[in-house]
Amino acid sequence: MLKYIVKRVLLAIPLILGISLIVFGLMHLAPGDPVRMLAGREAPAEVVAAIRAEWGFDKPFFSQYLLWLGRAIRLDFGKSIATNLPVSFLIQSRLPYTLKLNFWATLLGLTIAFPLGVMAAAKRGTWVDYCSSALALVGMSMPSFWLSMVLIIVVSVKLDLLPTSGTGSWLNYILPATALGFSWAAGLMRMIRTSVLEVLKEDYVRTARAKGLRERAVLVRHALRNALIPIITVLGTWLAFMVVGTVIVETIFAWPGLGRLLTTALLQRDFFLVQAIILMISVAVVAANLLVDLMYAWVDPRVRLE
Amino acid sequence: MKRLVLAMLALSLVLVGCTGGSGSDAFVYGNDADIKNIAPVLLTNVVSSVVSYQIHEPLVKYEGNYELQPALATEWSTSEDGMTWTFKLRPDVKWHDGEAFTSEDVKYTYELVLDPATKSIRRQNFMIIEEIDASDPLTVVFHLNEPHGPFLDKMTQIPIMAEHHTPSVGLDSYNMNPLGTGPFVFKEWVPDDHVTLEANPNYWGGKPAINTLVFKPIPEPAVRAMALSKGEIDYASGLTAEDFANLEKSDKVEAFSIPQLRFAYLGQNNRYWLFQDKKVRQAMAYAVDKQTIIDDVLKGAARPAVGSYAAINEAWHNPNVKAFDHNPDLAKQLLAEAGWTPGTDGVLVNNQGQRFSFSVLIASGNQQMNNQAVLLQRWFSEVGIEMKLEFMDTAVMYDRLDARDYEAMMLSMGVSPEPDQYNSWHSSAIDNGFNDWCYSNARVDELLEQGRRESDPAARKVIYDEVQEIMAEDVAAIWLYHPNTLSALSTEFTGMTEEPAGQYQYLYQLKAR
Repeated sequence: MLKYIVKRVLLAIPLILGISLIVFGLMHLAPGDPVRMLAGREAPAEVVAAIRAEWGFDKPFFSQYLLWLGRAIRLDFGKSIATNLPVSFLIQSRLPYTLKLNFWATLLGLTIAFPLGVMAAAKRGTWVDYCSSALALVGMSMPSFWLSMVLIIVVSVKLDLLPTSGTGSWLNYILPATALGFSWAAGLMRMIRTSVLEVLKEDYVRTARAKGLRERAVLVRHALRNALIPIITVLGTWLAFMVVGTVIVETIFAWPGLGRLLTTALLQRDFFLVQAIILMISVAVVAANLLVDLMYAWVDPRVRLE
Repeated sequence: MKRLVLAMLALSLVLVGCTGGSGSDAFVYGNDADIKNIAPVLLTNVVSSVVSYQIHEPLVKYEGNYELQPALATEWSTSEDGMTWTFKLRPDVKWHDGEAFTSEDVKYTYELVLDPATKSIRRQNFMIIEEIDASDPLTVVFHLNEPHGPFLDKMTQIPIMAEHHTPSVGLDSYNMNPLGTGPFVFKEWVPDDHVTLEANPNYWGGKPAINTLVFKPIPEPAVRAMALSKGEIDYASGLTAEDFANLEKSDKVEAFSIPQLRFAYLGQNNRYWLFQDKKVRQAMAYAVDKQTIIDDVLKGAARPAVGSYAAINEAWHNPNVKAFDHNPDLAKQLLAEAGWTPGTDGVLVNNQGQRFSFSVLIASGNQQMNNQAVLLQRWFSEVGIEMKLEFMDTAVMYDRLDARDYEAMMLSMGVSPEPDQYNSWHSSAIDNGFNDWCYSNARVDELLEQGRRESDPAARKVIYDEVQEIMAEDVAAIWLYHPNTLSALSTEFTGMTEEPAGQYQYLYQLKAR
């Protein structure tokens, strides 16, 4: 087991290096110059050129990349071009907000998806199934920026129950966490329903029913546990989904998180900041996938990790 | 379980009650973005300037209708030859930490801008400074390497930084620990969440009436408007015309539509073969109905432009230039005179069979720009001109403009009240500067050179009047309008000005009602 983990971690290193090189290359290939974005249309060309040289953008591509890599290995991610502030400070100040928001969104998503998904499967073809399917359809087809605006207009402005945006109290979490968690829950709910339905056809479920187990025990102890494998695979894409979601939701709700930081950094072509955030996200996604693989073994003792 | 839910609901209602309203002595200012760097030598965006100018002050500032007023300097004079500027400094001004403000601080600040390692985008503006003399603590003398008419305008751009404080903090972490002489003292910055300032009890202009000033970035304009109508913020800047129209009806806010110097234009690339003939450019100007753009797209919140100098800049605007009022018939006539005849598909062709068709670069994601582009497209097609729309990311657009790789573009540009627009319209600025229009006129070049060397306002007025006449006649760009800035203030507060020079420098005069 430990050997397996060490092997996976070692394999992740070239993967992450590759990602960093691709992102670095894309940022350099993409049209748009961070210094011009910062200086604006009005700045004379020689000012822009001088500032570019100060940042080292006049060097060849690979020496720029190696310089960056050399510092990144020592966890020095340089400075943001737009603000002149250390990248590590900008990320550290946002990370807790994004983690907290994602935690509540995930919790909300799981509490919606699991009961509804299992119930829809258990009561297949009844109004419970139709209602949850309709809900899932709405959740999956509704773009999160639209859901966010509707939540603000209805819950915050019309009903005057919650603040529109920003941070401050726990009330500020409710709307963005709902906007983020709901559309994720919708997809997950469908997945759970299909997976549980699949398992309910199995012989051992019939056996469990035949020996007189209550339906609830059949569902939770026999069906759900075995239905978990495909569901865990879906959970592996959870992090990627949340990253995409936060980019939009954080901007609308004026949430001081990483998604919003990434949006502004990309629009500004803030190289070093984008580079560091993407690197961090890719490390997290790689780690999440490793975790999912480990969970297979835990959920299903037949899976052996070698 | 049910009881728990009910208790939670009740608790949430109580808490909602507590969060509504921001308290009378705290003023919450809603912006579209967070600050970048508020060190005065590194200011690049509006929000950073608004915050920085509460903490720091320049030597002179614009007030009211762009009149230069004393700030940290009480009086100033220039030598006969225009090579030396002397500023008397305000006595008894203290930095927020109690140290005295002196001429050494002024010298330090301008030397910091000029240091290439600072990476200031304004360095070029101050290269005319040869030497700064701070031998008297309350007098600062600038020796220039050539006479420079716009010098006072430049003195409004950089607030003064403390020599005894800045080097030890460093520009990189200046945002966490800025120090100034202004009406508000820095308290804290939580990135993308808020900046908090507190009233300076020892401010030389008197302690501000509001104790706490909070800046909150809310990027989505519609959310910013809703936050204001709910009372979560007390002031919302940068509103859209639609949100502004809704807020105007509310009795809980006072709405401000304030004219600006900024001008919006359709910029033809004057080097592109299609636009070489002055008659063609004039025809295009006649084809456009500026007032309809203003009424329909901007809901009336703009004034028609006849050049790059706005009418509200009374000291410098020349009202007697050629205005091209909407006249499609005249446009068609001029195009015919220029040798363009209607082709088979309705688009004009010249005697070599070339079609009158060009594409315009437009920054994507701006509904207003989008709408006005569609209107322009329609008016041009009425006179036989085909305009194709090319939407792109701002960063990409800037690259194309820098490379002068475009046929036309649509943008707006912010200008200072100072009439010197050398870097925009002088022909030398086509290859080395910001003449995006590639406009070149020998007489205008000559006048722009004269204008920046001249210090006498009356003589400068004559020069810039002629610049405006020629540029209007030439149709250097197709001038559209000067947009207003739209903002709204909660009626719980009073004291906001409606003067064009800007509302943010009056925040210390705000009072709770």
